[in-house]
Amino acid sequence: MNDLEQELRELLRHKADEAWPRPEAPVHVIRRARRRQVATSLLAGLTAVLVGVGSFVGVRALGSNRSVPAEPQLVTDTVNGITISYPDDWFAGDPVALGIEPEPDPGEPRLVLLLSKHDPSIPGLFGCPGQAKDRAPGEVLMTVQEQVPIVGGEHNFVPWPAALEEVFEGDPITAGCYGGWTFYRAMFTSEGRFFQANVGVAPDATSADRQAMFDAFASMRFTSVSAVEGSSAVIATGTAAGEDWQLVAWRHEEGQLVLQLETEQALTGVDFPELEGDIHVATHTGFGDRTEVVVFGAVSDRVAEVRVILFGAADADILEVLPIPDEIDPRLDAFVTVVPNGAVGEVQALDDGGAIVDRRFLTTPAPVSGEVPGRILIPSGIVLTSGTSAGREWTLSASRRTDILALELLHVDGPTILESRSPQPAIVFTFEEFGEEDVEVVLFGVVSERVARVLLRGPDGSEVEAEILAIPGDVGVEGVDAFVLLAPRPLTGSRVVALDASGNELEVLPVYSTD
Amino acid sequence: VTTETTGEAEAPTGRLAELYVRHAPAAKSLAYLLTGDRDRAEDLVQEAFVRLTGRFRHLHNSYAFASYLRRTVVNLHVSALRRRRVERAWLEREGRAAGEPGGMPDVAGREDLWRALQVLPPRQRAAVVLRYYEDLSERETADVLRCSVAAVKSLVSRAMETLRERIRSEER
Repeated sequence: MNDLEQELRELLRHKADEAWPRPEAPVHVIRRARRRQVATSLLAGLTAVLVGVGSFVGVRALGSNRSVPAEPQLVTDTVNGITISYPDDWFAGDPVALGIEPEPDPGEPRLVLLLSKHDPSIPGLFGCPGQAKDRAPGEVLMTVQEQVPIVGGEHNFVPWPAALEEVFEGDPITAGCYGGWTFYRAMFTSEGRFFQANVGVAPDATSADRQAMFDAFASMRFTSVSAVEGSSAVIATGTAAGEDWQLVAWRHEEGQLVLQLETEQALTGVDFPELEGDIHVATHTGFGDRTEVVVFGAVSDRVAEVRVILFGAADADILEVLPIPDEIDPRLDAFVTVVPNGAVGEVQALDDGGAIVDRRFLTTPAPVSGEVPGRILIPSGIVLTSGTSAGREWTLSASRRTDILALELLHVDGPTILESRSPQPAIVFTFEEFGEEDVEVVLFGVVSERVARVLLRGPDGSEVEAEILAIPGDVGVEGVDAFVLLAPRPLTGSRVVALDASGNELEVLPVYSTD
Repeated sequence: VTTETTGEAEAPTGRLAELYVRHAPAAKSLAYLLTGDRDRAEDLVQEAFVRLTGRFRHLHNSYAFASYLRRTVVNLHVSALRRRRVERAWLEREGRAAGEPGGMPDVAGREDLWRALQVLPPRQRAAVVLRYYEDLSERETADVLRCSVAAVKSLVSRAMETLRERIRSEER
């Protein structure tokens, strides 16, 4: 070690050892962490089930003999840098793009690939195939999760190619969802990336399908992380709520456009493997006083003009379509504007003849009242009900965001938002604690139409019944209802129970509260 | 969703609070070495903690929270400064700040080295901190930075060269 290295070590240790004044956990950090835990636990059923399938009950290396099925033909796709060959009547895709898994944050594990014999959009197929609405016989499933390897724990990952090993048979906890299924797992590394693959085989799956899945697993090839980023360009810059921002377009390794709205402190990114319709709208908040929100997105090449019409405003805001360099994406262009936070309206895409070719509903999170004196609480959607808890007035409203139902509990501290497609299999929920430790909690969520009653069952057997709220037709989301109840504290040990009209329990979910 | 609780609020208790108290100090030290700014280090660790705990149930090795937190802190720091324009603005600002009287006490004549460290590009600085403070191997550093071992060698080499050059110029 030379002198500079030694000096550097001493300096870094000295600087790092200087005492920090506040050793306790800040209240607002813990509350944000709690809320985020609850929210993500609702939206990631597959990961929770497949990753948490319990301990090894027996290890049996599978044979590596690969048979070539006579039929059907194989197709080859690349998803998130993984190239895989699979039967052409199966389904492969990005779990995030398919809405099965929420986009994780940088540095966190991410489901990067799923493969199934049946259409993954079948409700419940990946969360709970045993209770899937359109039950798919003979299913075989695979998910591949990109891991964040533990430093010093790389030995858990073997160099690719790896063998699948049997890890699970009939865990009673998940038997209702995976009764009789067999699970296999492999943890491996390739091209500097670390993966965990989970394969599930239904008891009535054919041996041919099982073998086809193993062949697909064995066919995987991987692209290195260093190839992930391609060319980029700054499309626009501006200022919102006193903070500078820039809109950056860049090309992902697989060719799709990624738009990122960046400030020094935050970043919102959207990727566009394919544009659904002619326009996609995203919003970026997080600016200083939160009085303004940046609205941005992509449009197809037939869109010549974008209009933003805010409810209550006299005129439409006509936006310029911003060209994205062809080397980044020849198909799409972009737009960006700044609107007041709390604004609700519509974004319209028009062709060069002035005809509206597509439109999207626009909502923005209202600013936090404590930071913006005199703010008026404006619900983002159609009001379902309202009430008071812990001295705080709140309003529960519903709106549609693209094709997702968004429930917003709006109160003086800001909105608590729950987004859901169709609950898997019956119910999703979240809750707002309002800070105090000794008052009730507002718990709300979304249920499928099959659900007639929702109960909060305490550890002592006591029950609180929720109010079921119909989603008005104007919201534009069908097949689901909302519910709300005031839950007594503590919530620890409580469960939310969804029942059908005959009193049958469709789903029971624990409430993950740390109170 | 942001709910700010200010003033003399009672310190929270429970599993999350314990997790924070146990792991935040080391993460703050790392973040401080990466940012050179106490407030930004505090913010960085809080944001990393919130993001990580949101996914905690999905972590394969949940006992290794410290490693995940370290990785998230580094990634948040580097990704926030990833784009060239932002990075350039940051370098300019830090360059100015480095020339101003610092709030830190003089550390046995090493302030020149500390100032030089602060103006390194984010990934070079992260590589140096991970190698010489966290004592990670080149392989481990590459894992955290999601790059090759060769890239780590290059980052550290360029960083050390810059540090030497800056110290020499200050001595002149």
